[in-house]
Amino acid sequence: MPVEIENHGDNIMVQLNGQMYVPDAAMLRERLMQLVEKGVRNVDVNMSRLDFIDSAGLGVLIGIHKRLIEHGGRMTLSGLRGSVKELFALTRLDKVFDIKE
Amino acid sequence: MVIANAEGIILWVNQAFTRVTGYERGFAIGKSTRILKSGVQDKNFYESFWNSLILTGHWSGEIWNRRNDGSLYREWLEIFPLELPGDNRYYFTVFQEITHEREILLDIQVAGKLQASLAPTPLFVENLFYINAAQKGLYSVTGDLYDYFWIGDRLLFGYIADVMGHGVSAAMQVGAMRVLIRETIHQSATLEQAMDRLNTSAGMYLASGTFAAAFCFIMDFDTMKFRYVSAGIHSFYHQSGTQFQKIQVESTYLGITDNGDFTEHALQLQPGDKILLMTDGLYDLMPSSLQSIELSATNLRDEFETFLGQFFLHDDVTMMIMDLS
Repeated sequence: MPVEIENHGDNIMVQLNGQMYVPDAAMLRERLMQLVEKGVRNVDVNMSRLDFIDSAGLGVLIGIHKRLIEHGGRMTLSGLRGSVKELFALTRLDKVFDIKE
Repeated sequence: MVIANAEGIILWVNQAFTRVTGYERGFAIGKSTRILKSGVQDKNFYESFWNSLILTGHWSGEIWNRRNDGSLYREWLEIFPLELPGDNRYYFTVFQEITHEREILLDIQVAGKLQASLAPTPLFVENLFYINAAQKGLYSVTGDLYDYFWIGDRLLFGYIADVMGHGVSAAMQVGAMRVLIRETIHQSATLEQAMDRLNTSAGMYLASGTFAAAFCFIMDFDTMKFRYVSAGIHSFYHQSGTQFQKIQVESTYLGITDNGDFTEHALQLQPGDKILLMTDGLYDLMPSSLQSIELSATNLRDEFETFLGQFFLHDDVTMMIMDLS
């Protein structure tokens, strides 16, 4: 599964695996948006097993991040590596997101 | 749901039938399905309809019907043969009213045409340059936008931009972005200042959870300098003679941070050079080993559809080409 979501009350753990393309991104957006509407405020995204993400995937992460900030919440990313890490540097999203090494 | 015999006599209907058509079950049973006939479809339609039913036992498609109160509605229906003992043939019909869906679809198509009419026509000066752009929305409308216009003597301003997402929600915000960019560029002393202002405005005007990418440039035809500032459109292509290079620009998107820290860059161009800009829906599809793109500004709009034919699109796409003579 490219996307695994674990619900721990107000906190959500998201594990991204392999290559993430548009359909996974759309599913992730829908599920996370629902959870944010229900009151989730903290989302931790583990990208240590993520090899590739396209702009649709980035878009979902930014969109959820923006929504969380508006509600006083936060999104934390961890485990960025390879081309995913490069893309985050190129788009300066490494300065926008809270990133744990 | 309707069950009818081969003569079109209704044998059974469910509650959804009554809700959509206004005919009570007790009234409908025993009547011909012709009570629903709208008169909108012509003789050829019904000939093809019955031919399909007789030959294949199946038909599916969209049809206009008429309710008990005389009003028209459009439905999608599918008819299957029903296998029952005996020699008689029966048909089982499932349907879904799609009047509103159809209206919405047609309206989106009209919106798409209106949107396309706002895009600039190709611009050129003989023996100097030719600039052109083409785009395609994933649906009829697009969340991408582009423009180019003169802002001074021999100074051409242009941009491509992309409101994240696609469809109607993105397209609605594109209209605001177009006005915003035009006003901002006229009120700003530098490209960096323009992008900063756009970033602030984007934070206010874009819907919650939405952001945008943009690439703005000023082409100075006196110095042949191509000055540009990017916000999230992190790559573009420059062709000079046989050299084809991807230029990457570190920058973030509009509307996600208070200080985007946008930086102006410059590229010295030569006569014959080509600049190629694209939004991420297209850029994501380009192989990293790309050596050239055989499209020219002059024929871009004619060739774009063919060019896109090799890809499976999942987002709105826009390409802008500036050819220097």
